[in-house]
Amino acid sequence: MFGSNQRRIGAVLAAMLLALTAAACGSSDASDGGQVAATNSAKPLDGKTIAIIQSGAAEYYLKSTAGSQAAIEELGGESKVFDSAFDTTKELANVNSAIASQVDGIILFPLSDASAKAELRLANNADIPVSVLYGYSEENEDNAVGFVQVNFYNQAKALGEAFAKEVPEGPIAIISGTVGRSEVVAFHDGFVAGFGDASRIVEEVAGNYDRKVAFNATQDIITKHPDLAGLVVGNEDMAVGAVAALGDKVGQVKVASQNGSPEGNAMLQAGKLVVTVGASPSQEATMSVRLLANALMGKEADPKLCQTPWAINTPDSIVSVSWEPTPEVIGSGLADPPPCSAE
Amino acid sequence: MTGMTHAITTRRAELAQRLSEHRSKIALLLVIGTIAAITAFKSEVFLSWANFENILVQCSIIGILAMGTTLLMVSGGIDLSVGSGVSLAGVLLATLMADGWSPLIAVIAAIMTASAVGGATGFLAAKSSHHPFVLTLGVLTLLQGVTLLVSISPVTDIPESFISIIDWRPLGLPLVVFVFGVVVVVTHLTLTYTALGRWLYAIGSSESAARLSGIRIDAVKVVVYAISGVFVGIGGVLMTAQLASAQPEMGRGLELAAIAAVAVGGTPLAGGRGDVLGTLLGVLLLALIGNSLNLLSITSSWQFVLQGLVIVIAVLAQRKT
Repeated sequence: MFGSNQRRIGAVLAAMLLALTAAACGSSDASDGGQVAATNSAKPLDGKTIAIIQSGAAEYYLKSTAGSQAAIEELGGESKVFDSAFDTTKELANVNSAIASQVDGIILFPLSDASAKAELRLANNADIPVSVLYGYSEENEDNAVGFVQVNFYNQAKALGEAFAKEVPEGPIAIISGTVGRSEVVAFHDGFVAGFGDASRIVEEVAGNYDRKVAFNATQDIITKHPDLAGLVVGNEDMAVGAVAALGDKVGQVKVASQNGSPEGNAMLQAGKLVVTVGASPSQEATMSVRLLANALMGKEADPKLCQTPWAINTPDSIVSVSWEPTPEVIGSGLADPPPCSAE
Repeated sequence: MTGMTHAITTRRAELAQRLSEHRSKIALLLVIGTIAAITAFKSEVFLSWANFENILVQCSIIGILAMGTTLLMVSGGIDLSVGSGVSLAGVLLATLMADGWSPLIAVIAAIMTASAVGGATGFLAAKSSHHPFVLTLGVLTLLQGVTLLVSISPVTDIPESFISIIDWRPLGLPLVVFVFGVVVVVTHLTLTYTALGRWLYAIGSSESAARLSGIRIDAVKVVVYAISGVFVGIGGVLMTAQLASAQPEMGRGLELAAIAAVAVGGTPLAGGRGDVLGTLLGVLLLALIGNSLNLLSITSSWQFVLQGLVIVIAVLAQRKT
């Protein structure tokens, strides 16, 4: 179709255009950050650039990123966002890029504690402090300034206790997240411990954190167990699919979930969910920035693991912190010491 | 007597040839039958109408996408952006309705957008001398970004008048199943009885020969990708109605499921062969595996193993040509 020279010229022009666009975006970020820095001269991240390496473009992580950015700006710094697109190799490449960019600190949302291990070692070798959102393990402790994450076991245990009150009898089923992930195991174990009577759990199916998969799984479960009294769903994204599949049976089948997302809160208010357990991604990301800022000021976190606050929500009482990075959420997350939960 | 023997021999030869021609589909049917028999033996609800309807509903959206993918793959093409296209169509539709647009106009806008994206992809595929695999991988990423630009959060503010369409039961069938049926018929008629269908097989068999025979290959590619885009748009609309919401990742992975169904159904990635019946069996097999494993309470880890094994067996059972 095109001559090979024309194609080469086209490719070069496209590359130049991309480079110019990237340069333009970079300079605009820098100038914005410069203004922030100029107006916040006494703040702990003044003049510092912090890399935010987010897991992917899912709503939860986007809110985490927004929270981190707002908190970094509040503390006088500027941020650079890297997206790992749920790919561990890209995550590692992003850490390398952040190191090459000579950032002053990193907020890392790793895909797992295993993927964080090598990345934390790399950053440590480059003397760049890293604050980690999820990905805690004792093995990783020495190479990070701190970790912020929900204690899934305790959270799910509380959900199990609340759900046992809502559904005192009859069979229940669980639609869990992606098999093999540590938080899925912790959620399952915690829920069973809190619910008490494991013999009532007649089915457990993986929903892979996908609402369509959860839709299909719910159809199969309700066909197999028409007398189902309760359904516990591993997050609210999947709960949307489960509730849609239940249709008129919502009510006969009481549904519980976890997240505290705006979508979940709307379902609670509409009576489609009876109980959820929620935490705020913006707040925990902000807490992570606080740990990093403290480390840059020479103040070590002790203990290294700071657990995200969470709350049980019911249709009458939605008490978990907002997902939006509002000034109140940022303010509470940046408190020193941060509001780590004992549970 | 000799004449009779000759007639029997001829009939046997004809039957053997027919069986050989349809070996792939017979093998697929055997796999499907085996799974169905095992599940029916172990689960008392498997053979119920409610479960049969579940299976049909569960395979409908994938099936609609697989029909478009069949048209593409018969012509030697492929489109990895199908899942992202579903996300874009769904999120666009939901956002427009949340902004107060009439559901009908929003549905038309979503399907036309998906078709336009498909047509544009077809144009690029026609102008590129490389296989569309990498090109459409790029489009996949591009559409993911565009979808996030339309809405970064799930859109749930959808009018009840739209959500309730999913309760329609034309001819007594759930709406998604009915639409799937229409798409199957349209695709079959296109492939079997139209000039476009003949051109697709010709291009898939040998693009250079098809060009020499006067087929306007670029135009055909634009049209077939645009038709696949229409199916993508329909899939996005139905999924939004089914889930009463849309979110930027709603179509993630659907392209691979659609391609797997088409390939399992006997359409080679190289093109030139394939039909709607094979794809139907492929779609049915994939839906059946998920349904059966859930009904049999197979643990999730084993579900992955068994799903993979069944697909591998189904592909190995295909006829070599």
